[in-house]
Amino acid sequence: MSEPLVQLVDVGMRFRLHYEKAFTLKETMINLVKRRNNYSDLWALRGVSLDVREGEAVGIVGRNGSGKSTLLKILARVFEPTEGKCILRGSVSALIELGAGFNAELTGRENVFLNGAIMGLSRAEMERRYDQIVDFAELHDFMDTAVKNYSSGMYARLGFAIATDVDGDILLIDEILGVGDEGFQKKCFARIQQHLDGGKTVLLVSHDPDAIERICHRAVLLHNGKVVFAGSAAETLTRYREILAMERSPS
Amino acid sequence: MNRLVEIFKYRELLKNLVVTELKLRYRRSVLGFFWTMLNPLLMMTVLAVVFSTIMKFNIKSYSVLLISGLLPWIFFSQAVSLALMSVVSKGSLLKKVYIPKSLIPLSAVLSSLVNFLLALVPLFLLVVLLGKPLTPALLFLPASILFVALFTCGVAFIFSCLNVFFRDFTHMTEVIIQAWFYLSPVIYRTDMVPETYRFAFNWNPMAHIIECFRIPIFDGRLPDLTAVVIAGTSALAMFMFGFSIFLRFEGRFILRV
Repeated sequence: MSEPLVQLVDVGMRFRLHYEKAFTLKETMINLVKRRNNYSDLWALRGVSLDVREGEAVGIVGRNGSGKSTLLKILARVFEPTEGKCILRGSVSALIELGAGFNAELTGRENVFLNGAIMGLSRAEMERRYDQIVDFAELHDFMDTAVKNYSSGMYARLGFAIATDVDGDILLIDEILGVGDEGFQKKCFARIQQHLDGGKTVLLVSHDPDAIERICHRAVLLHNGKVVFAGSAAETLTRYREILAMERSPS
Repeated sequence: MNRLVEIFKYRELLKNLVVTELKLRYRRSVLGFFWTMLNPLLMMTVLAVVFSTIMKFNIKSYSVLLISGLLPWIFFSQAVSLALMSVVSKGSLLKKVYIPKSLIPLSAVLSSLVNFLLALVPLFLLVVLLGKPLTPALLFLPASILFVALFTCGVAFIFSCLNVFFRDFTHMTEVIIQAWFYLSPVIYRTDMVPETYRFAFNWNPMAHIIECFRIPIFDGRLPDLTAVVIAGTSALAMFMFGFSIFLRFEGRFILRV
């Protein structure tokens, strides 16, 4: 069997929680002199291992603060893991936050090209895709308007259209399927399905059990930064509901 | 070396960042790009009038001396102060998508470089207007521009990195740049300085770099070999030193911006 496309080996991510972060030279000096340790460590993830093969759709579920988004940001190479290894054998397009690479002062059109460049595409390549992106985002009349004047829905639609049109081998999605009206959401799901049919790999973080069940073959459950369960989407969701119920009922 | 290759792979983004920077700077300004050419000219006029009145310099030749020192200096100081804030102000972008972080100070330097190159137009107009001969020595200027660009990149890498960790570095930079300005032969030449102090300029790479730019224009000859060697090596060394410092610390940026 071929090597997995995404491989996480014992990944851990530590954050320093500063009670009062030293942002200036003076404060740093004072802290050094007084040997003050004004932080505590938080392991947002620890010992997480995960293999994802080509063509798979994997859901990541867990309560707030369980480390889902941190995991996705490590996969998107925004965070470098404190320990362990994250191996990616393919290009990644990340929908961690829609319109993440936008510059608010630029127009919609300019932002399409800026985002294409962020994802490593040439101008010619983006010109070829441009009409398709505008069609999908349904923003024909607004491409010459600065995106700072966009509504949040328009912003999100353009972001989604760009990120999914620029098809990387691995698509990372973080809780963003609440975009636009029902018609647009349907289009989004269809787009993701299209990616999967084309043999692409999808990792989806969501609180919406329906979305996970519809899209994902299997899922992992994160709890306090550790993988506590991995299995089929349905099984994992059952375990997830158990955890939620446990938290709610006073012991 | 790998990191340099990666920057090359992202050249489309680098180009995009530079164009954006320039576009936004001149959006909604009537004269647009003319400001880049007008600004150094106005600054030169003020200084030339002041110095020729107070110090009784010959205004014609002093103007050329002044502008041939001012242009590379303006590029340097503008690029460094732009780069200084760049990583912090692009923090929200860095937190959401992966891009090589070195592109950010680099794009600040390159957008200032575009301004510098545009400002060469009024420089040459002025040189011709004031009756300085155009000599083949001017062909050396691309090398001088490369020197000042590399040196500026190195400083920009270090300063932008420091500013991520210590925000009060912004205030210090103003003083550093200001002091460096007076200690470099920008508004004067080293031979106007008493001999006893002249040795100090040997230790200032900017002095050699500026001279490499000024001599072909002002004196119409090639700069001395020693000056070229010192300027070239210090520029390359500064670039590599700054870049390695930046790479050493960039992993920690994300939690600090």
